[in-house]
Amino acid sequence: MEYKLIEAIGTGDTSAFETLINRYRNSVLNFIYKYVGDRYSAEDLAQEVFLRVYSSAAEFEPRGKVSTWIFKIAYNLSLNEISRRKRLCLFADTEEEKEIEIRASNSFAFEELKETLMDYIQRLPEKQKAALLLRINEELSYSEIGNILSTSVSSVESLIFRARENLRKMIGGKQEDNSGSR
Amino acid sequence: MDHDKIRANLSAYKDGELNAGLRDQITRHLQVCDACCEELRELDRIDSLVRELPQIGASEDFTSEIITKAQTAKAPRHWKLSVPRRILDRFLRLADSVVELFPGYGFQGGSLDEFGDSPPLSLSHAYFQLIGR
Repeated sequence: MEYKLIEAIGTGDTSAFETLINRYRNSVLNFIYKYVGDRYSAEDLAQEVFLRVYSSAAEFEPRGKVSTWIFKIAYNLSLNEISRRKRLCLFADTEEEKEIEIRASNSFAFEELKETLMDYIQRLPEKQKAALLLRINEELSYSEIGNILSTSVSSVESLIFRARENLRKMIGGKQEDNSGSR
Repeated sequence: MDHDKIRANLSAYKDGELNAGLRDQITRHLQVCDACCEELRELDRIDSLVRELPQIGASEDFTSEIITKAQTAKAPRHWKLSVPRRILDRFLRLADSVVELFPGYGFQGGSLDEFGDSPPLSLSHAYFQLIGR
């Protein structure tokens, strides 16, 4: 069904393109938002995702799922944005430093965790972050995530395991600090 | 199976990504191990928190803006059809530049209707279209 949609987009059918955008815009936008951590960049990047879909629809080979293809474009563009920001020194940490830095320092109540969770997620190494978001929010299989991240299923398993462990350490650290400060 | 091995696989167990043998072993272990059950609940809690992160909505003109941009940008590429088209385009551009070197040899008048019987993809048709602009 979605292959036909992509085929129609490949011929320049804008109503098919509109259908596809409306089907995926919220999930793509929110994936990018949580990945990059900035809603304004998220909207620009999400638009760019769909423009890439439009310009390369005629080349799409119906071997994988359309959603996987779209999220692969979204992941690559988000990763480029993160790299661009790092070059501009908007983020200073390397991935290794991030791993070491995974710890908590301030006091927060449990309900406040949600507010700081975006920050925790941003601290995860890039592939762990992408794998976790694609699994939890998009409910993609490890195989689909592997296609998007260009890695094996066993690597995806490891990435998701470590992402959850890291988040748990950060959340646990906050809670320990919270109870210690009372 | 020891706790460490169970815990290392709980994440994939939770995601339904383990083979049947390992999955059954872990299920049996969880029936008798409170500590590993607690570990699994902890993973559920983390997932719930991630799932409950605030969602953002697209702006009202999100879709229309993309469609406008797509229409003003390059049309989708049709690779299967584009190869002969691209060859013909290159030939016509080359022929154009050659003809421009010798303006005296250009098409001086008359109507292209005179050449209406040329096959549409023939060199003569392309040539007269080119010089007759």
